[in-house]
Amino acid sequence: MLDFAAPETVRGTLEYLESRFGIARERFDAFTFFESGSAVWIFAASPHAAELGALKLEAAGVPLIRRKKRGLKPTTAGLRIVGHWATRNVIDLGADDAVSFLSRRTIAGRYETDGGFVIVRAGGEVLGCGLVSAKGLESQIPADLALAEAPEP
Amino acid sequence: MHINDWWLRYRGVIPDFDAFRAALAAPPPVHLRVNPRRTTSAALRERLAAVGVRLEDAPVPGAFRAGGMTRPGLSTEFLLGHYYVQGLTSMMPALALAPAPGERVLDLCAAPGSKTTQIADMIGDQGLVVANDLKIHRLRALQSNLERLGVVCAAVTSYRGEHFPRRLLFDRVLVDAPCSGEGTWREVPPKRSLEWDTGQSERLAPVQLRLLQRAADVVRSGGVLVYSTCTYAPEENEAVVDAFLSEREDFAVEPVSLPVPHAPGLAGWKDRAYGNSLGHAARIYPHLVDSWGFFVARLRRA
Repeated sequence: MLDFAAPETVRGTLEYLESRFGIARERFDAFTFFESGSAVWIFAASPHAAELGALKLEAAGVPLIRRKKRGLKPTTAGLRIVGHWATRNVIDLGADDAVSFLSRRTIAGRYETDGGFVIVRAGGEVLGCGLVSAKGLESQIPADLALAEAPEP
Repeated sequence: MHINDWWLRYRGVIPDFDAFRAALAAPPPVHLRVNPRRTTSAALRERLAAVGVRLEDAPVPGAFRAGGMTRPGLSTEFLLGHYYVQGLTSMMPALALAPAPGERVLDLCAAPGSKTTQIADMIGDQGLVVANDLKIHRLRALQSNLERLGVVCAAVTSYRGEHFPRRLLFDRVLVDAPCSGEGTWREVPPKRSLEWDTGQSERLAPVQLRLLQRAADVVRSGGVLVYSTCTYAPEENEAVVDAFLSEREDFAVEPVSLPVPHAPGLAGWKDRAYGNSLGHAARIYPHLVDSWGFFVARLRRA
């Protein structure tokens, strides 16, 4: 179940996105935040958003951040909405690597970013969330948004 | 009953019945809606052309017939949320609803989200769309589609439709009711049984009526209520709306303007006569527009 996000949840989310990715907090003026036990959601700000308190919500807008034991993790769906505002910890891939990334594979190599979660783009478009580790760039694309192993005929 | 015998009940009801029967044997074309949050019609047309898909204009803004597309749910552009796959006639209920930016809209039987996402497109993500559905696996598909397209103006609830809370009133409500799905019967897949369950309409009609009744309770005065199914059965279409109207004098069926050819709602069926206003409803047939069969009625609350 979702509820309106507590002020400290919103503050923590905005601080994380600004410090990690350089996304200015003013970018989120157009959104209302909701939270569940495991995630923080962004919903289009409007006079109607407040009325959602009258309903039992399964979802509200798009999940932006998931709360993991080891900290916050941005979602692919959320980054596709706000990731183009990022100024750091962004990796741009060529066309072939983009296909690998969308197929949930790890792309070996060393990256100039900080270790941890990054925003992955190709051709100017945000593909989703990646994880830079000792193994390289690990795709965090969820299964339902992943390219199938066999290419389309 | 064998499906081919079942269709005979519509001889004399469906215009040009032989052409209707012939259309059932052919697969419907793939149609898609461009996701304006991610791309433009021109950009998608160019991208898909590079993989051999031709986008041909369809009579709905931002919608196209996709020629040469065999697996539309597996492409990179699909996974990136550049488009939504939706039958052309499946776009008609939301067009009949005609939501505007800033409005509150309820999609009572929303999964997997084709009409919800279309409504969100139509209001430019400005306003509120409540997408309700009961079944958990259907909710997952709905949420997955909302996330794939990046729809931020929709909230998902999982009430039993006939018990949806009356606490919030909506400018527009869509009841795209669970139905026997006769309209989706085209080019029969090899494994599909040809035996038609003839009791479906009788079982579904009371459910459909209860959904419509509850939906009506949450339409604001002056608001619009659209009832749609993808079936031809009058028992699930005109009869449901007629039964509803007999107890709700504050609602009336309005003429509906759709960009595809359609026939009027029936004046009666077997020994039952329906109210005159049912003629304003739209019956959509696959031989008149190459897509799925649909029924759409637009009602307004006084």
